[in-house]
Amino acid sequence: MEEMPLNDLEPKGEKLQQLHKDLSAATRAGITIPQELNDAILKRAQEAFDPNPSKQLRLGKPAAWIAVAASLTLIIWISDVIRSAITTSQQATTAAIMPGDIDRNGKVDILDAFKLARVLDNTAASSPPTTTHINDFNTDGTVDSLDVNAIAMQAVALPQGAS
Amino acid sequence: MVTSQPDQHASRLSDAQLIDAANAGNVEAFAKLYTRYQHWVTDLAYRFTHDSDLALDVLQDTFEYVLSKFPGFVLEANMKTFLYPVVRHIAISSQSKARRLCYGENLPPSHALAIDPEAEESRAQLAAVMDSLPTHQYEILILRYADGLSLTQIATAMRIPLGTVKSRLHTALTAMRENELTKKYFDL
Repeated sequence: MEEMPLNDLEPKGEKLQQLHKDLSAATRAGITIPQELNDAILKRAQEAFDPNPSKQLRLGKPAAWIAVAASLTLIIWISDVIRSAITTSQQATTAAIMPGDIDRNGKVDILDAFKLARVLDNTAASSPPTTTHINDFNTDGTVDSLDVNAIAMQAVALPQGAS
Repeated sequence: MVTSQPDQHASRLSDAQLIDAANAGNVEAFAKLYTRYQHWVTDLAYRFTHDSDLALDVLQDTFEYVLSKFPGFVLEANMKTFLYPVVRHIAISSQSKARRLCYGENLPPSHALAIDPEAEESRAQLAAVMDSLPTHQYEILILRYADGLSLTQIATAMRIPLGTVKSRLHTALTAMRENELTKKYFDL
């Protein structure tokens, strides 16, 4: 027997309204929410939305100078980090990165397999990561769990000649 | 002092508009959202926990979570679609140590049902049929016909594929249509 389409199965018009009414009534728990609970939730909201939190954070002069010094230190540190990152990036692009070295630290280990697995976990199946010679470890043209397995296998394999 | 009394202007605002206002720091907008959904959340929590006290705990924790989303809360679907998995997760967590999840095993106590004896009997029959359905079908029927969610919204709320929603709903509706107690809801 041919299966009826879902749309034809659903109640319509007044019968739909009746089902809605009965089902809503049947699933209503009828729990009275204590006013104390309402007050507690809304008080918590008021605290969270307080537009003037500076009352708690008002800084005295010494604290303000410490904050300024800390900000300057942070700016200098960030600029150092950026400069270092640019240098590292330039070095990385000139050096050949071996297949499977996902974290680009010069070796292929289990952390690379883990990192690629995380990337795949966080990527929709419909839009896998761009295939490169680094992440397409098994060179089958796609980046998937097979590459993770292959990297993991290599990572745990004993070096040739080892006993 | 913020109260949970509905405000005339806020009552006309959509959920998305209230969220925008709350994102801008308007606590009244949050209060309105709370007022709008507090009973829905409590009822849903009760369906999962079957315990009034736990349901109220879930209500509090749910809105604590909602509060943590501000500022910067982006409502990607509708509010019930957003709240459903939150309530479910908190409800399961709150009772997992003591009791197993009992969604749909029992509908709410009779005080929640209609006073009209005929309507009460009709709803009791509906409740009996609903109780006989598997939990995953029961859940979808309520979201669809009590909460009025679209199939896509149900899929999002339950985090299952749309096709699964359709097939479960199909099976549940077929069972309801074939049951003497509930076929009155359908044009046969």
